[in-house]
Amino acid sequence: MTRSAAHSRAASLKRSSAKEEQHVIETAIRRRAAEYPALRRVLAIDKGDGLDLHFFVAEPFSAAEDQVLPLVSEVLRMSRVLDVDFMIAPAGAAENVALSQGARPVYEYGARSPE
Amino acid sequence: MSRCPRGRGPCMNTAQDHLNKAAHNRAFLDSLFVTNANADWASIVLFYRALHLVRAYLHHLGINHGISHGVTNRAVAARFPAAVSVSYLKLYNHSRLYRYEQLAATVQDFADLDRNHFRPALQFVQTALPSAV
Repeated sequence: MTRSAAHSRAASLKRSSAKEEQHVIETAIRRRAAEYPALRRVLAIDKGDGLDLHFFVAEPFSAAEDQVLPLVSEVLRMSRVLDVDFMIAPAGAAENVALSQGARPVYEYGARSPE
Repeated sequence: MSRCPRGRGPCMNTAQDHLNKAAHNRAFLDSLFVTNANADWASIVLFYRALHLVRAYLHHLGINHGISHGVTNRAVAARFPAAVSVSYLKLYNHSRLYRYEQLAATVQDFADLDRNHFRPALQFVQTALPSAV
């Protein structure tokens, strides 16, 4: 195998692992989200070799943030390949900012959790 | 402060480099009279003080803290006690919200972050690195 073919194969494997990890993380969020009633919506922005997760929560913000932080900590511990960034913000205007940056919905409050 | 490879200027390759930077950030905060008008930036500097303390601790353990917040946050979530990890992540979250003006900060918010989230992280780091400030 030439060096460029080896590089290409390594990059392809990394992409595949990242995709798999992204699926595992987003599925875990959907499965666990109902345990965090302050959580209203989770959006994800893809960032090349990373993922930026935006957790939007109900008021009062500080109590909601405290409720959701253990979930964020758990999600961070699940990452191996992906560089996972996060933000917990009050539900509202910032959601439109994230959506304008190409954010994908991961979880919506009231949505049925996956089996 | 040590130098980065390839002659790119100052770098932070050791626990002591990060402790020095944390002390520098503390000196800046000590020089500041925190009001509602600057509580956002005071909180952001408080987070960066915590960042250098946790990176010093990770160096001490021989763990790669990476160059991104994502990698450092993951290392903290994996290696620090749960309560300290959550406090650090709260400091990070607030620094991000204040930096991009998605949340307003008050003197009370700054005091709460300092007393209830920064101090426990500092005390934990001091168990391994007593000179940390």
